[in-house]
Amino acid sequence: MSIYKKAGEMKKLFTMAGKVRLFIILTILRCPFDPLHTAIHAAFLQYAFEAINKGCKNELFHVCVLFAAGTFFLFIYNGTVWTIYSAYVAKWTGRIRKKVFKHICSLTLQQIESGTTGEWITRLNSDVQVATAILNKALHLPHAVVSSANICFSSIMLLYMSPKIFGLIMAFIIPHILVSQLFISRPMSRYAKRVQEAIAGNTTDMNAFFTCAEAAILYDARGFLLERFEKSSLEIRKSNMMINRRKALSSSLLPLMGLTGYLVVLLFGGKWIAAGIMTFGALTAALQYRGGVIKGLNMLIDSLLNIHTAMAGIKRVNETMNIKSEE
Amino acid sequence: MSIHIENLSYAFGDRQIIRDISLHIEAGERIGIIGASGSGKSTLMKLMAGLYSPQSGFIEVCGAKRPEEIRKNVAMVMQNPMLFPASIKENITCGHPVSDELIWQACEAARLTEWIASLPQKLDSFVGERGSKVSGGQAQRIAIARAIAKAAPVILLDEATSALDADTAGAVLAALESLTKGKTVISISHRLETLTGCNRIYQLEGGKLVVYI
Repeated sequence: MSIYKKAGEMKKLFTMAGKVRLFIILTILRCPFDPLHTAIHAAFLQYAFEAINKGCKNELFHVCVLFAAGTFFLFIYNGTVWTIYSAYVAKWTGRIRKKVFKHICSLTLQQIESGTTGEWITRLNSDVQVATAILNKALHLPHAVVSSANICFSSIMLLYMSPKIFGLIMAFIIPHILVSQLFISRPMSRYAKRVQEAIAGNTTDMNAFFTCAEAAILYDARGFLLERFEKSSLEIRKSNMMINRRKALSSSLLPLMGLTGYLVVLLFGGKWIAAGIMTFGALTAALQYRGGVIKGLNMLIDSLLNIHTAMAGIKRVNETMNIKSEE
Repeated sequence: MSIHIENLSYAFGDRQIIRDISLHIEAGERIGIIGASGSGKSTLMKLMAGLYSPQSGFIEVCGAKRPEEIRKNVAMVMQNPMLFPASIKENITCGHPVSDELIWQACEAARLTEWIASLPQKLDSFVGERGSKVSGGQAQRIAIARAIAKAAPVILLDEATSALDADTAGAVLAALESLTKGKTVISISHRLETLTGCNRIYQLEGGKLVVYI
């Protein structure tokens, strides 16, 4: 499929779901985070090293305060935008599912009977899930493996270069892992279980239309079934919102803990350089291991892969929506 | 309030199911249609219920010609009761605003009152997915109560008692008696003995309708 066709299919999906303008605004609002992050980071390194070179503790303190304030506002900004974006995505997914179900409900009995129950359920469930992954699933297992390898490599290098810096980084990483486990991962499993339970109920409500299509059409019960479907869909949405809130917390926690770690390493590093325990080059090199272009590159590759996978679902969702009712 | 069918034909792809059928049924008449499995009985029922649109010819039920209008005049009881995964009440009302009094009247006519009264949640009891939490006879009587509550002038019975045992069939037959009283009734079956009390019986063979009795 050419890039134009892909763009056309995506446009159809977004138009069908509605609120395209809000999506564009939220995407634009999310854009400044990475450039600002890099800019604040670069400026901080520049002015902090100048202060260290001059041996001016007072200036370094001011730079650190400004950096802390900048990081804090960036954290608030990113957290806020991400939370709104997550809520948008949860609603966007719900809207697509509802519209696809409503459309299938409007078809005639002959049209419904022309496809198997499994086919319709797949069109409504799995296809929508795959299609909406274009917004709600940015990273996959390969990225987790690459990042795990990256963490292991960086940790070994840091341990080899400076056990003290490694220790300092661990002092931030371990609480980060603990906080993530206790307040993000554990509740996430609980919410994910709730989602699965809600999906089971939702599938039953959905199945009722296909297994009782004759009675539903003859007794004009389609509205009643749609209402039940909406109710169980709301349960799924609520649980998904809780998951997305935790994801937003995790996204906010990552720069907060990471950048605070940077700050502390630099403060201690400065002291160690002044005391002659460590060289400036060693400190810079250790800091460079913390970040990298590869992370961004991996994210881009994974995102492109996700879009590619999601296209299969988007195409089938559009196909379903293109079926015209014969009545 | 009659049913008028003229030159009706219907096919699934290349397979012709109904061939040029013409039939006139007066209001209050009871008609039986007999035929072997796969002879097109259920397709003819779905056409008469407004669930399928005729491919050629036409059907008029109580003056209605469009499928969505025909459906308003027809209630149907099938071999499989097709219950929604909802409460007894919701299965009877199908989400429409119906008073409790009318619901209980329908239950009474469908011989359900005693059983429902014995349930802890009465009318709000959940019937399970595809009626899995109730017996076959109870499910069929809930479907009959639903048809009674609709108060349609035409009743279509599609092998309504064929899946029931002798004990259960008695209660269902009594419920059906209440449902069909004073209505135009069309019953289909593959067994002649289940079509007792019909004014006329037709046989569906090779897609054509011929007078049997």
